[in-house]
Amino acid sequence: MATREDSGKGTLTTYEVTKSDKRFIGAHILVAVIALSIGSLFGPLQAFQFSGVDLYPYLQPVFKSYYQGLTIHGVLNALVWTTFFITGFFTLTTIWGFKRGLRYPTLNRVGFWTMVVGLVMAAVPILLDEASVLYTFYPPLQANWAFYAGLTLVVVGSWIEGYGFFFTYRAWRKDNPDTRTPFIAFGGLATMAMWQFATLGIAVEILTMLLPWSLGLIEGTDPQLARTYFWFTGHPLVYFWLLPAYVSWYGMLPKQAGGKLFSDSLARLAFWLFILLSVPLGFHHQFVDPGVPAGWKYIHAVLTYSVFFPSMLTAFTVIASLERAARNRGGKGLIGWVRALPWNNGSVTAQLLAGILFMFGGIGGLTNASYNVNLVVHNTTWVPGHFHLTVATAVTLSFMGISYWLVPWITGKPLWKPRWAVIQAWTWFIGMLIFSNAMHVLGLLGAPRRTPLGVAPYVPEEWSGHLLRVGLGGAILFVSAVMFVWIVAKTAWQRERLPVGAEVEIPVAESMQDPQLTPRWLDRWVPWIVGTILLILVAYGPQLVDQIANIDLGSGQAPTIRPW
Amino acid sequence: MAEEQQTDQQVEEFHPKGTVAILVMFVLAIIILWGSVYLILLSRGVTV
Repeated sequence: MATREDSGKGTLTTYEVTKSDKRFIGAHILVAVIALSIGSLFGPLQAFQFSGVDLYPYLQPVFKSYYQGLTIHGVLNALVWTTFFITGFFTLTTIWGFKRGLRYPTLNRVGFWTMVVGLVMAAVPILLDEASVLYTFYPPLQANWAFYAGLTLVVVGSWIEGYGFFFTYRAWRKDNPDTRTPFIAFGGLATMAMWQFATLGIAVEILTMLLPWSLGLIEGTDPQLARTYFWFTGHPLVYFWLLPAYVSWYGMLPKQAGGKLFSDSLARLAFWLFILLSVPLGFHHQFVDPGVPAGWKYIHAVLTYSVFFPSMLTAFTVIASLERAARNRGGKGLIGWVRALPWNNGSVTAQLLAGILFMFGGIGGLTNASYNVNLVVHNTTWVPGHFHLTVATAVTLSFMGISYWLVPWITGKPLWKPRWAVIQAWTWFIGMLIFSNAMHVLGLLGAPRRTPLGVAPYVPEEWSGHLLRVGLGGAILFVSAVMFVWIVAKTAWQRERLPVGAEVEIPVAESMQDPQLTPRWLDRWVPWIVGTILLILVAYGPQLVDQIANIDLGSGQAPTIRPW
Repeated sequence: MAEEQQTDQQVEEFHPKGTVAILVMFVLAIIILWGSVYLILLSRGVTV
């Protein structure tokens, strides 16, 4: 039941989320956690394989190969866990930020079920080993058509959910023409707006090439153009994962830590810059592609480094918010205040540790984006080492931390054994530290990625210690993932309920500065959206025209490879 | 004038010195780790 309190400016100040809303958000989180549970089963299988313990033969005939396992791990953890969690979380930030229900709840439900149908459709060929093409699904590796159609539906469903948020914003804006958009709602909208642009690449790739090719309607495909389309989406995909974590780091974590957001203006500026800069830099994933001219690689490299600016804005604003919180709690010293943060809170600890490891992920990303270093490490374990610090830690560990208040809020039940949540966050941190460091070092030593190194005959002795560390780190991470799923499941299924009046509060941080003082240009969409479109046209337009003009979809372009 | 006074009241003063210190350490870590990768690769000699 919704209650409405009008402050006199058309601004709702209280809103009671309906049971239906909670169930809807909970459905997203349920699918997300199930995906993470299954996907995480295959993480240690990959890591153990590196250290010479190959368990895949024991999984026959259900799971047939290392590549099938790697596909399940990547698709479920990087695509499904994230997308469902994000759309569920943003349903909450939209409703709670605007203090009103979704404008068209049916539309969002259609979006959710479209994603579910897409997930099932893609899962069937993956489980049947008919789509072992990894989550990047580069042609000429070819999957069953249902895999591509399913992923398309997942993306379309996320678009539809985004439209639901935009319509809700429009209704709120009509009632509040002069009020700054509440930050947590703004962050969700900005992310979903960026996602609309970003996914155009993958939509075009699947609909014009991969789907007709897998259905036998066209003879071949063009791997170069396909990779260009993919990375048009692939890099901003990283920001689709990261920005929801940033919404929490900026807009919620300061409250959990006992403080306020240091600067509403800086937070919004960072989000606008991420919208502007996330898409037009995909060629930095294609430094080794011979079909992309060096000049365009250079332009995208410069744009890649420009993302460092909003990233540092984020680091400054979030850490300053935490410093203020810690000093409120009695923290002293130039650095010593860090100890005063509420490290006994699993939700806070998970997000703090996610942020710490993300700093190292940023360093690895900057290094990896250097053209000449990238030529050496591009196809090595450095890259999965890097993205396990970003998507598998900054994002995943933050989402785990968010879950530690979100699931109790949805279910009305207390977090099961809160101390375990703290231990879970630390085990993830330690496991990832061991795992990712070993992967980075192996990458510098030349160990190839996407390769079952446990059965490779060319592994030199100097790799062996690091390969063992990959296995050890993977084992700790697996224990941590099991702990997370167990804690969340026990929280949801226990009989104990939170007493009346002790319900979980949604942590929304106030800003140190009244948001109404944030400059109006940081709450206007048109200039930023126009700028984004123009920058994409400049950075991608000429190359796309050239690559499309030279497209070859005949069978002579590249032999179809069905890797099963 | 009244508006300025109101603005001053609405903005809290806080100087995040610890944050600046952490970010300086972060930038130094970037320089050291990034540079070390170049040194590692250069130590293996050039590829012609």
